Amino acid sequence: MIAPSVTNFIVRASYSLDILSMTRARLILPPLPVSAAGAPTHLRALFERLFAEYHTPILNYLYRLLGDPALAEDLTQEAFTRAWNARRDLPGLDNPRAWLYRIATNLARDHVRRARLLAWLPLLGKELALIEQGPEDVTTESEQMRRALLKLTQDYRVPLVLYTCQELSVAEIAATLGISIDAVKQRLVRARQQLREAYERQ
Amino acid sequence: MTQHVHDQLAYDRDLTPDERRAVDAHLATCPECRAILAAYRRQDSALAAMPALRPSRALNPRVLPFPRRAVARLGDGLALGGLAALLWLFALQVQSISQAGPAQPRTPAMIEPGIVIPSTSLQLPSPWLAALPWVATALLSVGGLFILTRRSLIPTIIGGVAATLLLISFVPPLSALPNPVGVYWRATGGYAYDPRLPFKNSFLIAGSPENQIRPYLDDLIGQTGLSPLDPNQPLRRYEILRVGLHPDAPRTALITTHFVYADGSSRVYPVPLFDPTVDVFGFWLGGWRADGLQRLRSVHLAFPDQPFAGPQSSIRLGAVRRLNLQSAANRLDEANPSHWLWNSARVNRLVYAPDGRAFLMAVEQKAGQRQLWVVSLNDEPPVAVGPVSDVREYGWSLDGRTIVYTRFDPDASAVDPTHPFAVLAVAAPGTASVSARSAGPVTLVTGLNTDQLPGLTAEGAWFFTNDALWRAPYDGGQPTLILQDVSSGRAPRPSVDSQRVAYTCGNAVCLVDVDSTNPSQVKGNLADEMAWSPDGAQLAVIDRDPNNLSAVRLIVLSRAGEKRWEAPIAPRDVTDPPQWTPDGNAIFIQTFPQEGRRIIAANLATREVLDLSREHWDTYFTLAPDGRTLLLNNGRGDFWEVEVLR
Repeated sequence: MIAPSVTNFIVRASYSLDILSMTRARLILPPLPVSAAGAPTHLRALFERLFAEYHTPILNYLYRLLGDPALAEDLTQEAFTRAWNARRDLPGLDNPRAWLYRIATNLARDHVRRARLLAWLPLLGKELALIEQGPEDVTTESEQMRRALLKLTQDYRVPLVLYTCQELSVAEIAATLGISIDAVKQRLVRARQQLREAYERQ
Repeated sequence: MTQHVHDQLAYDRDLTPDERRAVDAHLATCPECRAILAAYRRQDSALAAMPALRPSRALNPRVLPFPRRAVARLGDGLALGGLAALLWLFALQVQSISQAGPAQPRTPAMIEPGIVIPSTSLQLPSPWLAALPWVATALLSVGGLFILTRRSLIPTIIGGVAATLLLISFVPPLSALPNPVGVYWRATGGYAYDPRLPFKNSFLIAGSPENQIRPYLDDLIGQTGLSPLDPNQPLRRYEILRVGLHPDAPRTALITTHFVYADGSSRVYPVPLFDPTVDVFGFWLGGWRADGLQRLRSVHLAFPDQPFAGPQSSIRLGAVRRLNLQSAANRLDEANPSHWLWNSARVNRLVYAPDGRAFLMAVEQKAGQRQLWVVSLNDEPPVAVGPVSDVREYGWSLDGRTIVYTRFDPDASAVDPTHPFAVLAVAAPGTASVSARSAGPVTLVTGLNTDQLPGLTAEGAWFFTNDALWRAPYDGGQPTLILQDVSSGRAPRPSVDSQRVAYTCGNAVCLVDVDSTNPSQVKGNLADEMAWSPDGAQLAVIDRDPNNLSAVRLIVLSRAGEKRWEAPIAPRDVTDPPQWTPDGNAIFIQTFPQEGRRIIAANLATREVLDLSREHWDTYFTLAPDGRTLLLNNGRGDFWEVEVLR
């Protein structure tokens, strides 16, 4: 298993040193005052349902994107914390699942961007390479495929994982990524081609 | 068409029914596309077979454990606090650099109308500022570690260590343990703390000196006196600003205190506490044995035969006024523990210049090392005289152009340990150097057996050596032989006309003309100090029991050596040389009984001996050349002038 611990620690630290993230709660859900209209209770119920239904898929989605279970769990927390902070948008959402995946995808992108920014550090640069390449002694087809997947760029890896692993539709992926349906289709085509080539090169 | 189908195979789950039918039709006829589809299916299977994670309990929003939550917030808070503190320090540093001008004189700060607060006293390092870098760095480090290693016990351990270090550095009684901050201060100096703040480093200081001194300070409320009291305004209140250590005497604590007097004027004075029970560097100490105000608290009683001068006395003192000297002059020797010993303490001596425009005093830099200073009564900074050395006695030539002092001479001591003293001369400030060969002090003679000041006339310094009396010119030239075959002669005092000389010979006073005629001898105990009257007609002799068991007496002799008057002036102990008024009718003598220096005046006309000292004065003094005022300083900073009424 890839264990890019130091990189992830540093990257998480860089999140925390961000002034905005300093004030970010970490899945700490303070009790909402229950109004006479019952609106907060309604929001909480909505959120809890969303959490119950999607926290495992989101966790695995992030794991497949990033390859680090601990990091995936941290980012899942972050994703649901952000979702909680934006809970008042929930009733008006057409597709809450796409909304959640968009949050998770943005977090994953931020993480990778920060990791790349920190990659000039000798140790971190080495660990970043490990994220992207994985160990050499891989034997199972699944593991080989996972390694091949990690060699895809974010633009192709994300829609492919959303489509194949998370079973989102093309339209949901478009909503998640904020791009057109045709663009999603185009990326899926190229992602599959690149994955096949990467797999065959191993 | 084939390319289009290839693309559709990549998202075949999302094909419309029409697209599905078209693709199926194509697949039936195209083996290449079937192979691609099979490859995509394998991709899907392999990706779906990737191990899935099960969420940990922490992902349950309702049961997120509190400690983890608290740790996360604590780490963020610590890091933010540390960062803010460091940024603040940086801003302070930038501000101080931007405000620092090139070689600007420091302006004394006025914190209340009246007496100027010396800037040096207010610029003690703030204990908050001193501690802030440590605290900020610790916060930032611990907070950063919390953030970096949220799943680890490492930050908890390191945080615990850091918290322990902070505790033992700043929180009594734990801070009495050896700790890095204490070691740092011990190595670099500058230790001080603000007793109004909740922490201090006890490793460098015993107990709570500020608490020990408070009852003593309370006793001074409503009192008048000399420094740190005011001779005219009762003390109204005080505030302790800092507690630190004497820079040169680590066994002495300095409690910087702001004294406010009845008229609103104020001054800052570092009240010393010294001689701790064990050691100021000890582990845990009980308290302090003495303080710099002890002599001010002693009961001021008159000695037998030396009554206090009253309003009707023939000699008395008038109003006291503070001399407006330079701040640097006012601070000279203000924190010298030797001044405040409970027993007889003749540590300093003030000597007026013959023209009355300046005076001499010595400041102890460290044990056995003193700096001689000329302090101008005008608004001029004090001038150091010669290098720091083991200065003993000092005085002016009669014309005021030369300063003469004695010191311990290590080279002479190496040759003959019983004759280790040297006499040096240096030009007074503003006059030409005493020697064309050297601008600094010139050694007139060395290898003497006494550190008493030689006799000083306009021609030179008079001293005994090799059983003969010599006179050395102030330029360091060849001494002139005055008298031969004078055994056990010591401390010659030539008359003003240089025609007759008095000196100590054994336990007697001997007088003789410089042409060896008219010898006379007056038996006594031990002639400690002598001084001729301005007209040379009388000689004042301080006669002291060498065993220090009986009273010190003033003996007035005629020029011929006849005893004219004799009176006790002190219970015991050494005195300063007698100081004559210009009219020769009165003699002033500084005495040093225990727990309070005295100003003794002897009226030759009325045969009275009066004690002119006042409660809470404890002062050194010197009589002005015109005999109308006394210059006062009690070793606690600042100089005062009091009028002599006769």
